Amino acid sequence: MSVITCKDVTKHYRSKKALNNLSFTIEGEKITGIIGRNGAGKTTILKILAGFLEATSGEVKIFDEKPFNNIMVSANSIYIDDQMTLPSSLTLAEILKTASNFYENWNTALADGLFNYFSLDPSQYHCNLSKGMKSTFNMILGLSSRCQLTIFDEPTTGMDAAVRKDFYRALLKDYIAYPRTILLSSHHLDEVEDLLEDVLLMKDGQLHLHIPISELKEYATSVKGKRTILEKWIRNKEVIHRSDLGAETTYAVVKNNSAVLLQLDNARHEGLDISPVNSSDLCVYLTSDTKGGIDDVFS
Amino acid sequence: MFLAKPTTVSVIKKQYKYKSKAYLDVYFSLVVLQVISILLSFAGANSMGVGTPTMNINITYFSVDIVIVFTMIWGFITAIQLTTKNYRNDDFSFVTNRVNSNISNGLFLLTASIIAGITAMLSTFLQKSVLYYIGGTNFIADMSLFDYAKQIIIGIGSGILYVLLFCALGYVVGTLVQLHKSFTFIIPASFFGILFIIESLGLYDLRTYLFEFLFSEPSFVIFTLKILSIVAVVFTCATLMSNKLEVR
Repeated sequence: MSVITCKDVTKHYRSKKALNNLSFTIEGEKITGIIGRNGAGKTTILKILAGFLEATSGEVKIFDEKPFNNIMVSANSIYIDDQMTLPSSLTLAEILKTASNFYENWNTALADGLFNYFSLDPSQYHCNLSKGMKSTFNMILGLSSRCQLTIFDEPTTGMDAAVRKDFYRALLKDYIAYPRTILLSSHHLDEVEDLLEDVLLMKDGQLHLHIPISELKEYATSVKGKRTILEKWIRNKEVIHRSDLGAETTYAVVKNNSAVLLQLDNARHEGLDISPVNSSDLCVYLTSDTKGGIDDVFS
Repeated sequence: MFLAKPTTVSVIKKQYKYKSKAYLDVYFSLVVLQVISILLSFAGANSMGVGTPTMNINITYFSVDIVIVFTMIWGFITAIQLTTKNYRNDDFSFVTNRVNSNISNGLFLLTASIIAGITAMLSTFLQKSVLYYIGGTNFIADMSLFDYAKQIIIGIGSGILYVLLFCALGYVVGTLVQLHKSFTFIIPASFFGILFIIESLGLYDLRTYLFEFLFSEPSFVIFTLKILSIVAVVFTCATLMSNKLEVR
């Protein structure tokens, strides 16, 4: 049984298309990163999976059931983001207790452990927390509920670097202890790439790539060097990104294929710098509309 | 893969338990409102004086009608509050679907109506105690203790039903506003519009009929059935309307 199946999912907000025939399947227990630019439709698809929104058309199945208005899906999934509202009349300790009542797999030891580690005050109210503290508390809720489908949408908003690091570690440790399907959307791919098994790259409401992170790391090669030589070399290759670094130097990113890999030595001989592309930059290049990026605006 | 398979009943139970705790604030506003309305009830009493050269009789009617009216308004507003986005989203931070969320809201409002109806009716004793101990007023019993107790019980029953009716109305109004913001204007406009049409067309019979239908039913059993069926219809409509409402 696949955990998530999306087939031709389209979502309109009035006249705007947020999702456009999005199809993908996620099977088994793994951590998948949902990566994309602002407005790519990440939050929309995650909310549809959580059953908050209903797709305009297409088929969405979670554990073989439609998520909208489904208590089975609701009981086995949790959606965590920075806009999560929690009852303003309950203290943090009471919210944890309420959540433990709702989620069957709730792990009290983990919740208490994390709660104390991040030195949150049990008698505080959620609405009075700072942005980072809110995200920290939401993250505790997300991990401790141990839902088969755990969705983190930009969970690190407002967290400082130390807490972010702790969170990623806690996420990984608890995932190993209790494997489940985790979706993690983030703008900081470089921070999370060590956690991820798969990457789902979205662009303009459509699926751009859905591959294991290891493949993404070998997806492309960057070449830097004299413009005239480089231009000759990249001819007939799939160029993902290209920018001019100075009067004579150009930087380009080409998609790897057997032909490219065979010609790498030859490129080095011609004086071009060959290096791997970091996944975060690669995703930016893959999802950018213009080949030259922001430089095009100023040229 | 272990999947939790909750039943509708268990989810509603959990939601109800959670709401009973999380929405305790509404009772605080109820107490404040009822205290204010009891104070107002002293000022708002009808009085009538008969005077002869040798004697002066002053008759003052004290009632807790105003407390009941305030409590009805409280029920209306509380119900609207439950339909607002924040409250709705809170439900979905835990386990629920739209129907269960509505049913647990209904159960919470029923509980709140019972508490509010009882306290509103019992405020009559508070009022009389204040009049007796502070105002030095003596009361004349005009009926037997048994009849009086019976009247209080019927009073509590109808108080609960009126508050529940207004909760239901508030709930449907709140739901409509959540469906489309334009209802914030459409509902009051059509309410006063209809009142105006009734007045201008001289449809007094209709007005009297509606008034009597709700407020002058002599049989308590029929009255209960009437109110409960209106409440059931209204809540069902609100639930059906909000079943496609998206959250967060």
